[in-house]
Amino acid sequence: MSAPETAAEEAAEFYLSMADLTEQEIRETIAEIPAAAADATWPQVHVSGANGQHAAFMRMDYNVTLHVEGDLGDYAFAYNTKVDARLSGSAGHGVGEGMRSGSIRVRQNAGCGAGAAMVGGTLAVYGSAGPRCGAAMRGGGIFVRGDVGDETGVGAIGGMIVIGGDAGRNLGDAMNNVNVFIRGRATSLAPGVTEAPLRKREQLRLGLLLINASIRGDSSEFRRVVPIAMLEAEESRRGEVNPNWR
Amino acid sequence: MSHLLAPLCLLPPSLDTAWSGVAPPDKSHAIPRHNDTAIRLQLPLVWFDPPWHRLALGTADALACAVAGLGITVSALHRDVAAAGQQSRFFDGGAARVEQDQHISRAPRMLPYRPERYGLSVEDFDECQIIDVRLGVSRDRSGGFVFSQVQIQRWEATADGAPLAGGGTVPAATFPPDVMSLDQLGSKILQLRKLAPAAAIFVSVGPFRVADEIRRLLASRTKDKRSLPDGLVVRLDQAALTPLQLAEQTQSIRASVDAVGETELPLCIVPGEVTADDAAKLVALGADSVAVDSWCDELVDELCYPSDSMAAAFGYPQHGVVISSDEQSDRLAGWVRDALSPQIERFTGLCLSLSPDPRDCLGTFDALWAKALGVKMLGAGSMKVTI
Repeated sequence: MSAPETAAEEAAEFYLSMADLTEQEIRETIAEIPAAAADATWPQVHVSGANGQHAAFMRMDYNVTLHVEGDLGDYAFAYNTKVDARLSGSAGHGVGEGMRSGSIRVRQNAGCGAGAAMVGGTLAVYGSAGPRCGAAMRGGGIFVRGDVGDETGVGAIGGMIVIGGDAGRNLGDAMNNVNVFIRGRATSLAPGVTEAPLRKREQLRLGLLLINASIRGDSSEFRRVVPIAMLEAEESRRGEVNPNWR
Repeated sequence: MSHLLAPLCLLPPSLDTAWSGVAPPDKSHAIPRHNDTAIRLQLPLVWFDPPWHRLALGTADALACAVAGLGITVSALHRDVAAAGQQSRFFDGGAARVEQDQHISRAPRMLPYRPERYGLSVEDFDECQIIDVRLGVSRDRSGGFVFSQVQIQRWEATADGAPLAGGGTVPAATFPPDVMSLDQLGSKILQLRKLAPAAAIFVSVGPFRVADEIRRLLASRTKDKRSLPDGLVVRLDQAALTPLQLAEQTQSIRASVDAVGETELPLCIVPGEVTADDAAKLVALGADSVAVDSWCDELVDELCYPSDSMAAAFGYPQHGVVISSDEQSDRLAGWVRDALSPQIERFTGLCLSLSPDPRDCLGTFDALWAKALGVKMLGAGSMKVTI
């Protein structure tokens, strides 16, 4: 590890290599980094040498920003808490599985089951994601700038999925209490989900989320896909009558 | 309960066997792992799929402690027995340290790693002895491939006025959504090894396509050994098998596992309703451990008001008995011990008599069973065959 270049007003920076250190050694090094003051920028940890390692940087619970240079394999950053992780390349299957908080930004593509069973936090994929993105997610938000594969959101019971491109077949199958925002087209929607109007409040919220995830675009370009039961419950709470009854 | 496998007999030694003392009762069950370490469990018995949602949280926690305290490996998520952020005696090891032996010091716990992972929290990986990757879709009591609202509410509590799925059922998954195919399950197993380095990783499958699934799970011996499971669970309870089919399937599954060169791979059979005698015979047929859900589910039935009872009809608390103090937990543990000990002792005693090779200890007076299972034909009838 190179010496930290700490300045009073700047975040400490650390440089580590997966080629020189085992992942355990990297974790131990990160664990020893003193916590930043509550209002200070988090320490910046730069990790090089990523070349497809599986199950890397899982279950991390540190207030650090982790910059990983290269590609990672399956289940990268699974079950993480707090960490702000940024991957310059692609991730394999199950990136961010079960993550609880913090954020993950994947600059390129993600495999199948991105964000599966995640509970909180934000997963942003700047390329495309494979099938079953956001499957069984229970909270948090997933943003994919490009396309997503088949069965996106299958079994999800909470949270939000934003798709900048197109979606494959069966979007939203067995989905509950989840909002999907899509800019492109879905090959097919699953039974039980429908397109719904994007209301002003949702437009504003989505716009803010797009800014947070550094995804370009206007929220008004997106359409909303939700479970029919959820839409009916919303309408009933608002006391609305469906004008399409005749 | 009648003995399903009554036509099968566990044979005593032949008359000319020399008198030998019974070996000291080492009841423990060792699960060899990929890295030449082993996990030792007190008994080869598992409570595979407890209906925790039928019990109040405190009661579920106390019951898990009590059953694990007898050495039965108990399957549970933290959310099954305690609310999010609350402590659990079962998970914190308060009451269920089963033996003083340092090798068997923790409450034997199995983490059910279902495809959907509803209710799973990262702390579930800590100190579990077995992670069971549950492949295949589950039926609830209604027969559908769904989780009931009561079950899902236990795992993913929402506000009373906003239940998930509008208060209906939630579909169960068929396969982990972040695994591309069965052939690529190894990557998931490697991940779980990293999340729980001290645990054994099991994979459970249903009975319907078991031969093909075993081949695909285990046949690739060129794979990294660490990417193969440490054990296999077969849910024979998912099919309505006759007793002979149950015996045949157990034997055939063991043979299938042996045929791919995994003769030491632990095989756990989930047989449905069995007695202690049946469980011991399943061990003789090739199982290394047996799920005894029928023994333990009876305790749950006792602790709940039956759904068709007057108490339930009049709206008394659905979860029945509520355990909320250590003193009540201790009394419950005593009640559980009284209920389960006779069966455990019977099973243990029969298993001790299965030496040296359990498969040589089986025989039957029934020609059909003898032919189907290839076991010894017993009694005077066997003379006709040999004359």
